[in-house]
Amino acid sequence: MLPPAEHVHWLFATGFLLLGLCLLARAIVGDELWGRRAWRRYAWPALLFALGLFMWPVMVFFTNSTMHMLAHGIWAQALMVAGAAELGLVRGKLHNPAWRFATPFALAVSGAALLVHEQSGWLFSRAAFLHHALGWTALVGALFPLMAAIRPRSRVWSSGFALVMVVVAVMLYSDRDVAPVFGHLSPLAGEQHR
Amino acid sequence: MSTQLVTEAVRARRRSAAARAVASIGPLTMLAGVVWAFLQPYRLTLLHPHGEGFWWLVVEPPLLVIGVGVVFALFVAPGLIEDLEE
Repeated sequence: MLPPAEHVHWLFATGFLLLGLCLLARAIVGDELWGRRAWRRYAWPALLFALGLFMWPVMVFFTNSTMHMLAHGIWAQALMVAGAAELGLVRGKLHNPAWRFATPFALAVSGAALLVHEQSGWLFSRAAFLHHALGWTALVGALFPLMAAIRPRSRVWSSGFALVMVVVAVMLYSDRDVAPVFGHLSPLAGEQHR
Repeated sequence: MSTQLVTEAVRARRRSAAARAVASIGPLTMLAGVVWAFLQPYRLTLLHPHGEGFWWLVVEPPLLVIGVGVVFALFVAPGLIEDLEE
């Protein structure tokens, strides 16, 4: 009854797409107007926290290797910490603005986890390529929420953060279990299906 | 025209541009999903459901993209546009 790995990627892509669109809308209208309705203030941090929660079943059920299990576990924790920190800030339970650095930290950790748990080279298969690309996108993309935390009023950084999430979603949607990338598929990857 | 009126007009123009941008996010996302469905129809297993397993029938990426667009257009955008117009 376990979903194939590619389906899990597509489901997470859906979460990241919704997260990206909410962040994009927030960047367009500004933080003040976005926060005018209470549910909207909590929406994206709660979604981030939920994505972290859903990483736990991935850690438990997709144990291709110890590295996979550790990477998914660290990733789950990082996403939950970022979501919880943002929720704490919105609720007023956390006052130190340094908590805003939790999100870029989580994105950087996610990028590192993606890069570490992908043991194959870039052109091994499409999944391998996308994991490398996702890892570097998350790692470099962490600059956007980092700068947004330093300059909260800058729409450039907040829009950039939103677009990083949308790009991550597109990459996750492109994932297939065994498929070629730019015409390359290692014979070790297995037989291509669909 | 007084400076105050000009400032108000500039603010109103910015607000309406932001409202248009927010209103277009949902439909553009839905359009992306529809275009994707046409480009890769084999991703829609509903079109050829025989012999497909549970997950292949439930998780269909172009439909998920359209769904995200619908959720945004129905639940996020209207309130934001309303707040922008106030």
